[in-house]
Amino acid sequence: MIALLLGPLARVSAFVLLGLLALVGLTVAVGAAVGPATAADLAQLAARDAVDRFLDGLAGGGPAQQTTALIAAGTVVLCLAVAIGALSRRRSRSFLLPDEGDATLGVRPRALRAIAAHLAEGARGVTGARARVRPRRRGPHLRVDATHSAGVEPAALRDDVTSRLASVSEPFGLRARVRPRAGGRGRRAA
Amino acid sequence: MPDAPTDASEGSVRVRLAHVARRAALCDAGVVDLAGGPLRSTAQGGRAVEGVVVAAQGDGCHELTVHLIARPVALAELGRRVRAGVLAGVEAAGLMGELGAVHVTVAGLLADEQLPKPAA
Repeated sequence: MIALLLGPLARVSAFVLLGLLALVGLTVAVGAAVGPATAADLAQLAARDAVDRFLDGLAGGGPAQQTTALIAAGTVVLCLAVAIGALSRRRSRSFLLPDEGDATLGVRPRALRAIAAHLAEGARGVTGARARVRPRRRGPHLRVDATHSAGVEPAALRDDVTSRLASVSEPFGLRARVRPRAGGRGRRAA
Repeated sequence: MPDAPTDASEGSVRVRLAHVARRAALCDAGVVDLAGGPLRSTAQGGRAVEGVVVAAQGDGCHELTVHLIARPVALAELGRRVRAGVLAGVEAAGLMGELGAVHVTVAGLLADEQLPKPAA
């Protein structure tokens, strides 16, 4: 789960860093236009008071010191997370058919969820179905929550849906698990 | 980005392979469309063949990946059928010597009721 979050975090950080780089470039361009001395004077004037106040607070201890320490620690953790996210290898999220030689036949998780829900919704008494697929170390899992109308035997429904899912679960080596749910919550069939 | 010319004899080997593969994949009744986007297309000269990625394999051949949007059918069989269609199309185009591995990925699914209705 953490690995899944680190990748996007690294990509967002790269975007933010690019924005900062653009800002630096703009500053340099302005400096070149008005002259380096003038630009430096302007920057100095704008920053001097704020920096002075901050340094005074830091030297005197108290809340400013604690805040700075927290920000520094947070920055270190964020940098580590970004580095891990950027350097970690991205796994292919497709579910592949085994024994296809050099070539691959793969299905994206979204498509697999959609076909599983579609197959489950074809079972007698099912009013809606929601599917989830998860790659796990012991083999990928397919879990389907099938909402059904009253008067339907859950065990029979589970068998029916499981057999319907076989055309997806068997070729892709998914361990299918069906959870019948009586009415109530769940996506309704159109 | 606009599609590449419809004539499969135009352009580089990559574009010709992509075009043949796209046409072959769309012939299958289980395929609604091909998934587009910059990472799922083969581009040349500002034009792109959407849904097919053709990349050099390093041994003089080209690896080809087709990204499908499928109807809710048996996906394993659909993938095999599309691959066979692509191989047949490439052979008919006389490009078999350029082709390496053929990969098929089902990127999305679209049920018939989700398809846009034709204009009256």
